[in-house]
Amino acid sequence: MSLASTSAVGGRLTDAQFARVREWVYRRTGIQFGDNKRYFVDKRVTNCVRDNGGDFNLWFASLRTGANERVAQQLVNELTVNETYFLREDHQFDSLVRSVLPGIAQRRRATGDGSPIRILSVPCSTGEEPYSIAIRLLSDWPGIEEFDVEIVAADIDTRVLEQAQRGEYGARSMHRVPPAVRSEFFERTEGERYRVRGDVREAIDFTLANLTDTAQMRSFRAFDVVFCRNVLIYFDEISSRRAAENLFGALRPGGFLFLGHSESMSRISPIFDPVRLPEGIAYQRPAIGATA
Amino acid sequence: MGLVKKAAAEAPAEDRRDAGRDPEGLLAQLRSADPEERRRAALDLAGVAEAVPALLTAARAEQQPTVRDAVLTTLAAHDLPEVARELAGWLGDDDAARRNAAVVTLQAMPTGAAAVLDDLLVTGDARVRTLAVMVISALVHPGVPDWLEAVVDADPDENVVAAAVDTAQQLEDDLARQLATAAAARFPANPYLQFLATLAAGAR
Repeated sequence: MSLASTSAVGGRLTDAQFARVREWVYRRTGIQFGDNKRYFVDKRVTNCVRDNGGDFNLWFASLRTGANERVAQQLVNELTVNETYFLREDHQFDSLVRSVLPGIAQRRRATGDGSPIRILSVPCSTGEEPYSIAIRLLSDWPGIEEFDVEIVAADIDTRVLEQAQRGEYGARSMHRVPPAVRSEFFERTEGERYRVRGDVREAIDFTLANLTDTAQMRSFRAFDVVFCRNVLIYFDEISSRRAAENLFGALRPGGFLFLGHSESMSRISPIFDPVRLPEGIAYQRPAIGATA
Repeated sequence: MGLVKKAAAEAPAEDRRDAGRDPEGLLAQLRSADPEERRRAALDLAGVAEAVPALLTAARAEQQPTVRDAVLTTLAAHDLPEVARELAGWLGDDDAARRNAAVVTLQAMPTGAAAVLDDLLVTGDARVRTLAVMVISALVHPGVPDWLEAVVDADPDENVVAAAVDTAQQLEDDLARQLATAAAARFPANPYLQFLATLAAGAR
């Protein structure tokens, strides 16, 4: 049974409906669903249609015309995975320690620049990402012996910042952390709960930031690397453009931006240069004009 | 060496991004010789309605694509007819980057774009009309089906009509069927429009 026009809970989308939803999702979030994701998309769209009266055409019209932002948000939430855990999308941390930081270190040495290398994690949520960065640097980047590195972790939500500063996590956050890393960088608190080692917690600067607020983001500057993963997909067009501009402003010329694996900056703004690194794609802030 | 907390790296001494953030200062910085200063000024003029004329002038004159994009980001958020009118003029530009920037910005401006689309869709340049359909293709506005219908009913150029039918395919079965059938009837010798009509008729 299809969702051709009326209610069909548990049904499937027609090819045309799937194509429409896929196009809308791409425009809104940059996420591309191939035909092999058909079942995943059908199931979640069906849930959304059912929750909003059961008529695909009415639901899609509401989505497409922007009549009800809640409908759009629900679909984005259904199609994206809202979870964070240690060492998530690890290939980007591989990229950081194998390709990006060695290049930055080389330039620092060549120019005699002794300033710290600066890394921003935004939004940092409950802290798994910035701590993962710290752990990977301390474990896998020999340059940490030669250079100071600052890690700044920012989020719009003060509650998650408090959790991040506390640095205590359960099994869900820890599931990808190998035993050796657990014993080196974590202390067991109770049961299956672990707390990040005190010196690592102390080394990260947690702070408040709204990615779309240019005035607030102005204090974020001269970063060599920014991780901004799985958040721009939730923004509308105007907000994501502004966030991209603010991230551009936070980076040094030549600095690197990592987005989530399903996100694409080219959908949002042309101001960054995509860079193909051996471990995956990153975006680089070009120098502009006279101040390059 | 190792992980350190911030304060070690201060902004460069010549960084003037904290200076003169009042609208008057920002408008002056919009004319700065330093492109980075112009870019920041453009972003910081968000929400300053009095700055729209100066931003439009800046958008027109700006040669640095990165700065121009920052200006357009701020202008798009204003979503005003006068901004859309300026961008509509860019659709006929010889510079593909400017044309593309105008399309993308207009797509994010439902109110402004709505104020210029009726005129754009009857302009004499078929290339501009095609770009206007591209604007409609991503515009979040309840008037989208009516604009597409108007194109299919009256546009003399079959490529513009085909672009409208393509867009309708992304919206709704009934609309796609209706427009594809009408387009195929108007241009019976156009194989692509015949194909779209067959496709729409078989949509299920």
